[in-house]
This record gives sequence, C-alpha cells and structure tokens, in this order.
Amino acid sequence: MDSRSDSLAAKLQRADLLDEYFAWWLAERPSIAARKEWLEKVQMPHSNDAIHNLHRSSEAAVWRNAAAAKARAAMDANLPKNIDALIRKSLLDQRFNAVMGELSHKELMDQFILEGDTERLKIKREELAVKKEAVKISRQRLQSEICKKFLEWNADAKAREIAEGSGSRAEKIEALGRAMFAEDWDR
Amino acid sequence: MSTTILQVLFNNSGHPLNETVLLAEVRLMSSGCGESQFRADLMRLKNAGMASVEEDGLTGDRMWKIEPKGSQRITGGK
Repeated sequence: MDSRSDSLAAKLQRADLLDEYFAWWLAERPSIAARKEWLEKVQMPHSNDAIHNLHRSSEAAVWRNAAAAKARAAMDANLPKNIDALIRKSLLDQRFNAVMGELSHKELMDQFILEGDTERLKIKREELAVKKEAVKISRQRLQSEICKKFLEWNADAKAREIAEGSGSRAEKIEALGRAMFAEDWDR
Repeated sequence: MSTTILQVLFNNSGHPLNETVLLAEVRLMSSGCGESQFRADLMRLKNAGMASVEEDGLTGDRMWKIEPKGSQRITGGK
C-alpha cells in the first residue's frame, strides 16, 4: 500500500531522493526546520504535516526494511560458512530485527518529541491568546474610564474653569489632575 | 489495526519480525495502538491463516511473518 501519488514520499521516490533523505535523517537527526530546508533545497517545499506523514509512510517502512536487510546481508557474508543452519538463521534474524528496532525506535522518539513540541506550541498559543484578550479588556476599560472622567470633568464647573483658563497645557493637566483625583494624583 | 499489522509484515518481504519490533512499526504507522489490542489482533490474524509465528531457536523470541493469504489481503489478490 503505497502513499498517494501526490504525497511527499511518492515525490521523493520519483525523484530518486528517498534513500538520500532517510540516510541524511538517520545521520543527522535534523529538526523539522532543517528537514524543511533540505526539502526546499531540492525544490520540494512541504509543510510540517507532510514531513510527519512521510515518516509514517509505507515508503519509510520499506526504507527501514531495506536498511535492515542490508545489515543482515553484510552479516551473512561475514559469518563462517560452516555454521549450523539454525544458528545462522537465528543470528541473521536477530541482526535484521536489531536494525529495524533501532530505526523504529528513532522514528518513535522523533514523533514523541515532535508531538511534545506541538503540544507545547499549542499551550503557548493559548497563553498568548489569553494575554491578548486581557490587554484588549484592559484597554476597553481604560477607554471607558477616560470617557466617564471626561463627562465628570465636563459637568464640573471648577474643571471647566481650569480647562478654559489661562496657563500652559502642562499646568492645566496638573491642576485638573489635582481637582479630579485629589490625593490620588500624587501616587 | 489488523491491516496495519499485515502491512508491516508485508513490507518486510519475508523477514520475520519479533513482536517488540512489530509493535513499534505498527505504532509508527498507526498511533494510539494499545498493546492488548495489538496482541488480540495478532492472534486473530494467526487464526485466520494470514500470519504465522514461530519461536526463534536461540533466543526464544516470537517471530512473526505474513502468510500468502495475508499478502493477498494487502495486494487485493494482484
């Protein structure tokens, strides 16, 4: 069951880059950002999700299988010829499974880290949204307070007298502040 | 999950897989795979003649491989 023909796995396979990609991944264990950069360099820009799917694809499993089969064949070539058939088969199966297991484990660890990062990113986004909402509410409250104060000042004869009187802008602000906020103005 | 197990065994082109590696591979292809469900599905596949298991002569590991009936299910008989 191959991936869809428009999947990243299928595209890499068609471009004969699948082996190169996974060999690089295995050697470097790159971040998602680095993987995206690698794909951009070979003119195949893809999203995080597409990269995630690539590592879960049948093509990736087949690549792991080929790597394990290669290690098994190398061991087979190096084992003494006269070794007992049962022992030989067992050793070769163990070698195959050891490589498959190591590669699967690395992929699972990658996914675990990636999912952890995604979860942390989601929490950070939610925290940011809460902070933005708090700032919005605080700004609305401040605007409402200013309007309320303006109405109070407008109704206050002394405040109007200060506003319309002589003196610099700074002096008027100071006088109005003292008139409206009394002792709070100095705090 | 049975199809995923068969797919993993099919991808291995005849090399038997021990249960631990098989489970890891299945989890890669299908997240949220529980161990008890995995074992139950393995037994179902074995009973249906789609997969077989034998103990490794040296280590005693349970090694799984796909049977022709299981391969047929993956390829759709092609």
